[in-house]
Amino acid sequence: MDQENVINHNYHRLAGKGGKGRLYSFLVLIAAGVVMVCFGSLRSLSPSNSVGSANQTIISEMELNQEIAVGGIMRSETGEIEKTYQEGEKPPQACPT
Amino acid sequence: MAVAKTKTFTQKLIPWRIWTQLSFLLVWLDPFSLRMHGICAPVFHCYGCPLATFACPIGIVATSIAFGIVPFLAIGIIVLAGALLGGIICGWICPFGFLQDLVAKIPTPKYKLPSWAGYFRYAVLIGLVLLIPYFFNEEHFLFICQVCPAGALESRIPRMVKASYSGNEIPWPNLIKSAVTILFVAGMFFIHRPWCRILCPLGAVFGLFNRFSAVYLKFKPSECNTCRVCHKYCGFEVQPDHKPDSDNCVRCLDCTQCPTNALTLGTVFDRHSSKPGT
Repeated sequence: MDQENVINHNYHRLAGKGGKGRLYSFLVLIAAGVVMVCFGSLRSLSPSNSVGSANQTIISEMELNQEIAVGGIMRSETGEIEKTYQEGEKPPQACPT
Repeated sequence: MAVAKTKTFTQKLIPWRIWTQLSFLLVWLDPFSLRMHGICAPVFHCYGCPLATFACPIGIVATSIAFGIVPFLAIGIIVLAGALLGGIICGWICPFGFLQDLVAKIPTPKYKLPSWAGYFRYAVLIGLVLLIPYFFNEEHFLFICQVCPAGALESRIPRMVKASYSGNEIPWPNLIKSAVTILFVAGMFFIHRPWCRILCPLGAVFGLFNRFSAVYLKFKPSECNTCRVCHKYCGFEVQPDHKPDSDNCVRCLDCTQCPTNALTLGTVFDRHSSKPGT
């Protein structure tokens, strides 16, 4: 394959990636991202409270992220996700780092 | 073959990269103590850091999986950011990449890496971020946060300093984390962006998005005279004229200094010519 053919070959290979195929892939990914962000923002989770026995607090995924960042939840021996501190207490400020 | 005499818009952007990184650094370092850890920023910045505005998406994904929860919010943010910008996030926005860029400016001998070194990132992503949290838990010694050098530099070391000043027991990092951090810090002086190119799981994801992102590196074969100047400009051993959508590209745009302007920044909304060579 001479140099011009190599360039033309590359052009055809790249044109597909920069053309409509790329635009449609982008739109599909944006739609998927928006759906996941909306679903993640709206859904609720209910970790049990290891300190306060049976009290279950319903939290959003954002609150869950906040708790993860301060070591506020852990998995119990039974496999349940539990809060590690009571309402009004300070979180442990410990994370896996 | 006409040689360009004026700078393109993309070439004019290059000097602004360091200022863009610096501006975003101010956003990530939580100057107003907002502590918005409920939301992930699409960059590598440990939420254990006393100065972190947002949560680290990799830490949130791995920990959520360890708890048996699918982190839709974090994955959605990564997908949205990747679909819009791809590797531009690594090259222009990520604070950990910025740190490595700054250290790379120190005049030490720099060694090249083979392009296959980038595949280790996928091993880290699949193994340490997805499989180990799923099959074990966040206490496992190979859990991503247990080995992450960003966690060591941004969170562990400040905590160790604080503990030593206050007379408390010093929270030493484990052996693997210490080894990875020491190798990473030493590597920064001799390899351009060692973390991003060999181990970063977030970089691996955004590298994949280079194929689909709205903003991408556009190669115009009709302008190329195969001078291979772009190969010399690239600090990541990417061949932009052959693989402009390479997984290893962080879109630093240095290759767009091509004398014939064959490489520019394009978007999915640009109009495309229908014939090669036009």
